[in-house]
Amino acid sequence: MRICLFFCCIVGFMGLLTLPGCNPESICLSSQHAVQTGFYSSYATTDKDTLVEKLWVRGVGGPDTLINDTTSVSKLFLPLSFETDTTAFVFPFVDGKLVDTVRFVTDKELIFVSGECGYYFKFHIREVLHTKIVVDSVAILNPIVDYNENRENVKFYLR
Amino acid sequence: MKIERTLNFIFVSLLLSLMGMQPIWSQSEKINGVAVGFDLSRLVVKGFEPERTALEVSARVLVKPKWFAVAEAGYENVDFDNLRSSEEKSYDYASNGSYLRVGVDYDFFKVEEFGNNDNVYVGLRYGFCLMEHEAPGYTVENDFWGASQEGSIAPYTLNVHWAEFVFGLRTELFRNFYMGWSARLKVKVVENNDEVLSPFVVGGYGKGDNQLNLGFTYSLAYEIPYHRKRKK
Repeated sequence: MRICLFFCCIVGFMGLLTLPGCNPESICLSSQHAVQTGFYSSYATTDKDTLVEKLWVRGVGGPDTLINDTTSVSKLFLPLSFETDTTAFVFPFVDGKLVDTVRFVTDKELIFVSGECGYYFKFHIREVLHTKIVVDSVAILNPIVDYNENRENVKFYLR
Repeated sequence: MKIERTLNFIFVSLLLSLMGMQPIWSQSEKINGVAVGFDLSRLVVKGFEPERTALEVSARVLVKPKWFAVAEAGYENVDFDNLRSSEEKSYDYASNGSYLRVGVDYDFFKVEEFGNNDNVYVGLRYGFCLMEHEAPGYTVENDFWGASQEGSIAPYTLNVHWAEFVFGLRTELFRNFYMGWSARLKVKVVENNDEVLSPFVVGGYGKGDNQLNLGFTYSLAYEIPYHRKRKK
């Protein structure tokens, strides 16, 4: 019986050596401070995705173009600024002939995600201001822009 | 006089055990005493995660047949001050904490050999850790807008309480020297922490993010005998 227990203790020692393998590191997500937006037709009676062709989007005061897409898009991720409480984007539609500006007014809150992933900012969308050239209206569905949440925050209804 | 005799008895037992000699009692005696142990697994963790430094000692005493009272105490420090510069982590962190676990073990190992103190047991623990930690610096990256945000969390004290379910065994290596391991399921009960910083590791509990943790100990223990029972 003692030999059996001794054997079990040795097996336990083997287990000890593999101990760190029991703690897989979590996967950390990046760019989690982006508003998820979708384009919809303002003419449809029910919400229907609208494809916007050859869209390019620029952040006002941003370093470069956010998107310069030659294909059609129906959804966009718009990253929010940490420095100001208003983040603005310019949307030149129809090859730049019709230009709309959209401003997101937000509050931000520091969040600790995990020991492996550290900090990020959670945003609360207070208001969306916009010009009305092509963008007819904007609806805020989910005002919270949170870490690891895949849900649409804002709907753009286009003319 | 009685204390002096007991101390003398402990000293002689320890000396003879270290010399690998048979002690003054024979195999036909069952020995009860205080088992004082050291957890080797804390050293192994340091080998794989250099930012963690921990030490744990334990004491166990038979309170009634099959039942043991157990106390385990230790400390754990975490320090990864230099990983932010190498972009391995997005924040610097330092903590130091002391912990205590108390509880009982029930030995269900049926042994007919008199003098055999080997155990297979299950147990319960209540754990408590008092720790101080800080994030001397953190960075939140903004890939598009470029301006990353930096800040820090000043040192503060917090405490964590948890419960453990234990399964383990131990066997005698040499006279009065035991080795054994235990596997543990740990459930966090309370964490008194109002700041925006979770402990990376709670001493004695494990990863601070987790509500449930699995734990493992591998101990060497010496049983200081204070009572011997002769076989009738």
